[in-house]
Amino acid sequence: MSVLSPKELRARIYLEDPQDSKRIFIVPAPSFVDIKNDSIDLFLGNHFIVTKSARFSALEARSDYAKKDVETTGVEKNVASYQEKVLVPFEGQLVIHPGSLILGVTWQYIGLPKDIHAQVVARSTWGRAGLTVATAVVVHPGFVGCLTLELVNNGNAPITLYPGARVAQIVFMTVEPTDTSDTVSVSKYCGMTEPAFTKLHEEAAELERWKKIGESVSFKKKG
Amino acid sequence: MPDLIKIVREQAASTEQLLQQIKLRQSPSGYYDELLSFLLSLCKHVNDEVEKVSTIVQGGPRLPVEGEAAAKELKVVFYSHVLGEIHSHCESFDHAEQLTIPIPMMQFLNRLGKDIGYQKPFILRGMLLFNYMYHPIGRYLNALAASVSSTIELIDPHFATFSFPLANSQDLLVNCALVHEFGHLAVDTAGLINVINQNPQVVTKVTKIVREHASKKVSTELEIMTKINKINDVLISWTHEVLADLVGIELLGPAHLFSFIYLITPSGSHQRDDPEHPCDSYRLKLMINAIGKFGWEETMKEAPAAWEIAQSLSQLERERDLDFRFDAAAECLPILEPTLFEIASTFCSDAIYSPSTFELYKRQMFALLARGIPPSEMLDAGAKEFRQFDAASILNAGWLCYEKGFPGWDEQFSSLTAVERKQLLNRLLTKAIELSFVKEAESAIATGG
Repeated sequence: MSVLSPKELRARIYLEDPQDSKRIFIVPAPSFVDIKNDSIDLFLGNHFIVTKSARFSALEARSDYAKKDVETTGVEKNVASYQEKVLVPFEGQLVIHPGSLILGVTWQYIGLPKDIHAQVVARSTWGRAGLTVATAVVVHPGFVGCLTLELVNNGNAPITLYPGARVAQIVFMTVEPTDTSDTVSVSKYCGMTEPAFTKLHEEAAELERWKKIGESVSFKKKG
Repeated sequence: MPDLIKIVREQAASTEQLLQQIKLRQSPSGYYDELLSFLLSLCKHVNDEVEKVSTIVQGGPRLPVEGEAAAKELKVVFYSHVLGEIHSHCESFDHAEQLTIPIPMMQFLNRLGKDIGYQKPFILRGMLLFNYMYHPIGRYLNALAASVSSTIELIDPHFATFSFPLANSQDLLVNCALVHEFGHLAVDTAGLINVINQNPQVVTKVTKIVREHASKKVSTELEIMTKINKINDVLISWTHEVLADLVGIELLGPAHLFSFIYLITPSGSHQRDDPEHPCDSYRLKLMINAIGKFGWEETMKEAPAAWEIAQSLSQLERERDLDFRFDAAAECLPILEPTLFEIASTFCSDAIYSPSTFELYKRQMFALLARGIPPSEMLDAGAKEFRQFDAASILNAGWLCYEKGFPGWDEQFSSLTAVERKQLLNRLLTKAIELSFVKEAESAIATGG
């Protein structure tokens, strides 16, 4: 696994044929001359999900296991009740308060070939102001979509966010090519252009399995 | 008996309060702000007028009363009606959050206005009724305002609303039907209906047919004239529809026809006219002619199923004897056809969307969509800069991708259902159009535009 150099990045992004299996898509593409480092700056898009005061005790993925056949689960309802989609015009702004979480999205749409893995890292300019930009930093080979940015203000003062701000950067690495269909199915968030609500309820089956294992090894009655 | 002035004063206060609340929201475009300011100003003037009346009409409930006071009270009743109208327009803002309105489509329509040289204010209005509609509200609101006070600053007389079903707010493909509604605005703004009257030969023929139909079963001149007026009303509405269809095809090409086919296919009454619209089959016939005239036939053939539906529906005979007005108008329209085509092409001449533009980008756009990438830009051989696709090409590529069954997606998006695939396609197209407009703005800023 090696990080792509600026020269390799230019060669991969500036390919004419969209069907070329080596092509990295960053849409809109960074200008040729601006690719000087081994990372590409990511701009903040204008779609956000902000959180409101919760009206439930906790987001409990496992409690939804019994409702797996119901179309809208309790977790989905809870998430929907405390998160709200917001569109901020490019000339506008959004304030993130200390300790709060806002889901943002990259303005660029990313498409990775089968042999490229990427990592998103915060730009220190914003990090030093207290902003954590990305916690889900790994982008799998074959991923397509805008990247959801989990924005958290870890500082003590509110921070104003602006659509178009260079808040993060992405670094690309070569990996052994994998089957695209396998890798894409790994990500639940492919092809998104807006930040997506958490799909925590989809973890329920796995958590239930662990619960049963726990009950089995500790000789507890099923609760 | 209740105190009329008191009630209307309260009505004005609550309407103003509602408008002020709406003002606090973020509007999707400056046109919404324009309409809101106008309504607010109208509401304030109504309030002022009611106050003036209240100083003249003193005392409590006295209906009916005599003299000036009675006249003033009647005026107050009218003010109540105006407030009701203002209130009903507030509904336009109800579903006007930025996330409900298909903003890329709104930008595209605004751009079309610029391109044809008739950029007029409009707002998109999501509604629960499953229909697309055009409402020219400017003149009506101005007339209402003028009857309240002569000092109100009027709104653009061509101000319009284009309604769309709320369920389709994220369906960019189907919302291509809004270009037809935009066509209505263009037809009104340019006064195209009046142009038809400038061809004396056509007018003579049409007048003869109309009179013949109107004369059936009636004998007095008054009865004939009444029927002529009724036929003419239908004929004007139908002409408006046909022109809006033609403008839609000229500005957007097959994507406009695809959206029309999509919307009418589930309907079971393709042969039925109504006072506002000639039957679907006739409209389809004219749009298919326009498709041929502008060289889009080969593109349509790439979507054989839709093309076949369009052709077979267009061959259906309209239902006769539903209404004398419809039979008369249906006989007149074919005479008007050449004039309508000529008017529409002359009107859109500088902005006609042509297959040559689409052919230039088509292969690249399909290849991008096949990989799940927004079809927004391409790289020419050896170039160091990407070239942006235009919105009309993006929408046409999207429709063809949909009609062809999402080529290339089986491997990459095998887990998605047909509905999820269409949603993804709409997201990709929306993103591509957003990118296209942002890029255009960037270039304009860079060149000092």
